Amino acid sequence: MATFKTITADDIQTTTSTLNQLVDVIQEDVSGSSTRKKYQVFVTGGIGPGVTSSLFQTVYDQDFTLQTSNAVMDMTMGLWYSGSTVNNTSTGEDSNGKQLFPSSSLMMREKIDNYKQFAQLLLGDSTASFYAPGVGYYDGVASYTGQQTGSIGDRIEEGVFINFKRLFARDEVRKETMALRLYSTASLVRYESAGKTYGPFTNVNVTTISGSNIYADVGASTTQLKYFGGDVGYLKNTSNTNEYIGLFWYDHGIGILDMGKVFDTTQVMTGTIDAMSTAGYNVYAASSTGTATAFPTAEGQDGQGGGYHVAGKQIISGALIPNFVTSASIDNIIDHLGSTRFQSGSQTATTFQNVTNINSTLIFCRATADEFNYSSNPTYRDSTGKIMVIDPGDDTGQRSFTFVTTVGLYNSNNELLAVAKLSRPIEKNDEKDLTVRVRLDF
Amino acid sequence: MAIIPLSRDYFDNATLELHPKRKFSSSSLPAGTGSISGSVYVFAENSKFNKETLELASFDESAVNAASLDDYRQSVFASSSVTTDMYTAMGEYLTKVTDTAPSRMLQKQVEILRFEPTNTFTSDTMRKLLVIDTLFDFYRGWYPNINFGYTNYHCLNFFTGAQVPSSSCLVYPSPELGSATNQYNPTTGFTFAFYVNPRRTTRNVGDDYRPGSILHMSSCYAFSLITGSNIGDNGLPDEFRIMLQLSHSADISPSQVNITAVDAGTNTFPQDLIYITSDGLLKLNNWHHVAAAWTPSHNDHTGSFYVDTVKRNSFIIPSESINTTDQSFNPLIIGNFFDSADSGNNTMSNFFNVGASQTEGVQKHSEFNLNPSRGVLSHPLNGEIHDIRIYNAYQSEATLYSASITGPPDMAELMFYLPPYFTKGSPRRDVLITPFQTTNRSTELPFNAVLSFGVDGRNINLENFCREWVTGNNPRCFFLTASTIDESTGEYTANQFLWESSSFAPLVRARNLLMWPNDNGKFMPNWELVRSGSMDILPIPPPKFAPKSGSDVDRFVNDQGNMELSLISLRDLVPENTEFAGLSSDTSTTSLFQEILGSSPESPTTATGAALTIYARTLDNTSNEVVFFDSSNLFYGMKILPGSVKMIDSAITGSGGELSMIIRDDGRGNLYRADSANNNATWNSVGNILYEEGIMLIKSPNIPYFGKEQYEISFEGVQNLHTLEINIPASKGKVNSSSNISFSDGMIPDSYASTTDTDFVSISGVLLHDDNLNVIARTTLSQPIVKKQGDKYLFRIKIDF
Repeated sequence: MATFKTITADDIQTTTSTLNQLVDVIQEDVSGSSTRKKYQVFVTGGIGPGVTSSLFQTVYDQDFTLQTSNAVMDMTMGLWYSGSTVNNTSTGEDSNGKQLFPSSSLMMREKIDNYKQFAQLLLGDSTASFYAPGVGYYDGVASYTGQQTGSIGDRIEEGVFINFKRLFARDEVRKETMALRLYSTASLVRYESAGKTYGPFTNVNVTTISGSNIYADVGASTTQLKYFGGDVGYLKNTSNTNEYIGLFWYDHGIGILDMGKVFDTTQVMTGTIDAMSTAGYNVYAASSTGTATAFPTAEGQDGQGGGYHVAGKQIISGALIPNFVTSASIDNIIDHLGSTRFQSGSQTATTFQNVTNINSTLIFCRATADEFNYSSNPTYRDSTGKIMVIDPGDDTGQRSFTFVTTVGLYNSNNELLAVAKLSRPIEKNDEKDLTVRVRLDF
Repeated sequence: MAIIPLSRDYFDNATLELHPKRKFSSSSLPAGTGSISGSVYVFAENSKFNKETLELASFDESAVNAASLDDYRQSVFASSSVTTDMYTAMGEYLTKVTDTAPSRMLQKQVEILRFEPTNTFTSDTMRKLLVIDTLFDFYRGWYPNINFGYTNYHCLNFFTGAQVPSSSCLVYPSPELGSATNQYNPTTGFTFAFYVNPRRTTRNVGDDYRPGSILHMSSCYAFSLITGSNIGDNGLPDEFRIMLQLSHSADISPSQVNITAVDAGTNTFPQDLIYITSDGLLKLNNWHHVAAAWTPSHNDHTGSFYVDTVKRNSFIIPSESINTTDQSFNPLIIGNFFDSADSGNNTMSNFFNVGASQTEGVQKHSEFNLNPSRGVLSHPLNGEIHDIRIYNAYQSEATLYSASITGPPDMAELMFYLPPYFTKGSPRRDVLITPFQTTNRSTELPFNAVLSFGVDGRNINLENFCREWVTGNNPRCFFLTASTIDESTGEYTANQFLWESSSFAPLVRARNLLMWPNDNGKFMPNWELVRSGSMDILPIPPPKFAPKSGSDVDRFVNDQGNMELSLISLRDLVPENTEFAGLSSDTSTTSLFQEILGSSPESPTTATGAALTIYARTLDNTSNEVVFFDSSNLFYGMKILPGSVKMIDSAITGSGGELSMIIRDDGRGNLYRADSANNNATWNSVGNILYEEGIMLIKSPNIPYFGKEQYEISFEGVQNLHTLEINIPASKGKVNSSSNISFSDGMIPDSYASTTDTDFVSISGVLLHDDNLNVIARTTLSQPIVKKQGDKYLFRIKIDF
């Protein structure tokens, strides 16, 4: 070591580059119970054994009980506080302005609060609503349904919120890389095996096997929209890119899907869901004729002649919107979406590219021909003080040289801040002009 | 908002020392059966969901897939300008995404590397030299016992299995040449003592345990290991007994003894002089000191068994003398039982026949070139023994006790003593220089260095360990000796010739697995026995107390050259004057350089040449019969926690899965064998570990190829986690107003009727500023805290790094 040289501003350059990583979320990881974690923080009281539910669920890339698992995304749903689904269910308000709902519905205020939180975060107003197209307001020009309200209107009144974790979304999501594969209908089919008829008398928890759509942020690069929550793009149906089905907020890594457009809202959802119920229901199997008043609870379950009584449950048999989204708890709804609408196969459920910004400082450490040709390393001289690299008796013909191994960076107080090691020593002599470019990435 | 200056009093630092546990196992068994587990990811964030937009090629691939996935994605999205239906193309894109492998970079894992020194000068050679020449010197200040040598403390490991002959044993001549007295046969009183570890039991429930003999002299005495009555939880015998046969009863095959009758005291001639230790004293895989002593004058002909130096059961020999029908030549056999009449080919002098005398350097007691048949040695010991002593007199309990701890102080009253110790002395015999050639000489090293440095062959110099210390006799290593290959063969390496393909491969395996590192911690050898000659005291600083070069003890030195009798140095194994001028990594068997060098690891069948090939290539004359394990600090952090290392080879090379070995560290840089369930000899260094470097080195050449087929290493790491604790006081009467625009004087903190104090704030977060009031950190409370005038709070913020 040994020679100091002042680095000037001319010797320092800063650059920014980006790194893109492809994220691929597999269907079975969204649907699996071991990879989708619940946080049952909501509990009902008063009627029946009580219903517990999460406010959102988290999808992991492997069994979430493993220490090596990584949280990929949160999933939840929400209702706009003044949409038709809410208004048609609400029974009024109390004296403090709290909306009231019948006990046959579940978690209505929590669903509304979920929506409000995202509206506050992304639109800057908790009472605002999302539009697709339109983002934060109804855009009559861009409108594709021609209707502002209702479950098929451009206002997203029943939304599914997918919140990608920072670990995967990084600094932002790259535009025109987002794609989702979802199934618009719940399971439809029944099948026969060994003389018995199986299939979804219940379809709440039965994985759908057909009718997939792919939604993507087509056109997001060319139509750049910027709102309170940062850059946003439209999610469109790739079968018909004139259909706007949701929004994607790139800086936050948040996707909002309009349930009214993504899913078949009129399909009758049948099955057993949590309920504030004391008596419960006799859940018994249907006959193979298909004329059932109650339902087997799992695919392939026959159970004819059997049955069981469950308190705290009810049978749902109504449209996805409004019946299912109002009657079911958030856990029931996310379970249904995760385990059936994303499918449980090994295909890609959703993919995008993230962006990591890399800021670099380049420091050019220049050694001119007459610099750094001597070392104060004790091994540079022998015990008599002669320079080792100059042969005895030839000190007039030979010039000292060094092998540069390290560059140390000091502050103005001569305190060592950083050390850069060369992969191999570089010879420096008075016939060489050497520049070592030190790069700091952060 | 309030700004509170913080003096240093409000800062505190704490450091937590974390000990992450690691377990790594590797198996090089054939595909489908071998596996690696416990590798660590280089990148902490390595989700399988993370993929590359431009797939990275393998490090050794030159081609890059130009048709990247991202190009395809761009074309799909661009198609939206010409069509509204891009479902099919998008589906194709998703399929390609699915088919893309997780990022190779993020999935990169590191393993614990195992390597052996190479036959040419490679980076592994550099690594080896860096460790033993540089790092050993550097770390000796912390771990003073680090040396490139290993402790001279071994045991005889006899075992049975399909891979080794059942007739292996050590045969000591008696009477020795030129004497008419059988020097190993006590007749008027005796004491036998030895350490034994019943290391192994039967393989399957219900299998018979065949008695194995520890020592036997025909018609005189025999000690055998038999099972006790106890059955362990796994259904296998787990307790053992020692059976003593004397005089004519010593001719009864151990497997034919009527144990029940002996226990009942109803054994009759010729089994009348058979005695057995009490049941339940010898435990499986435990070292036990066993002694049997008798003399007619003691307690009216009463002898005693001592187990772990405690007198146990007694026996009476109603005679004034024993073993008086001794034959003229009656050798002492260690590790087996001679089950034949002394006649014909099986005449015992044939152990020391003229051929063996010439090729193995043993005494000549027979002019015939015949060996006793292998079938007469059919009671091989299946256990480990050491410190075998035969006295010609009854030894007191006190003497037995002291000798059981440090060995005999001298040879008084001893007829036979086998510690065993490595010594430079060995008989002149045929020694392999390649699998096809021998030279007749003695050896002075623990292993065959010429074979090792010439053709990368491994063969222990068993003869250098087997000296009997009372007479200085060397035994015949029966069915434990390699010979040359005198027939046409295929193309193999030297070790494949010796250990696998040759007709004497079972003997080579048994030979190399016989002298094992001793893990008996109850005993501390008396290495003063090996001292001889004088020392050079060299005045140059630091002063050296070195044995004279060429003396019998010049191998017992540490890395500084000072005499250390307990240590067998593994440096300077080949004289430097045999160095061949020039250095080449040319491994061609047809090059001019190789023709000069002669035989090589690549061509062990070639005749020897002008120099030892490996030494000529590397100019490194330190032992290559070592194994390194190199662990990245990703496994352990700052260093490996001393005392936490455990290494297991579950099937030592050559044993056919019969032998396993556990090695642990002593917390001071040494590795020791730790198989025994009791009292391991933690000071018996078979290797070293550099905790800060993650390097483990097995040095003992007596452990063949530790971990070659499979190994498992577990340890704990050491990693500091620093915590900065910042205490932020919110005193009474302070922090009571807010500059937040929503702050209102008219608010009250709660709805309790008793609350009258309206001067309050809700504290929602704390910002940390530097001297210039720049915010450098921010912390937010989970919910706001109401602070009234009279409230006093202390916010404690912790930052881990």
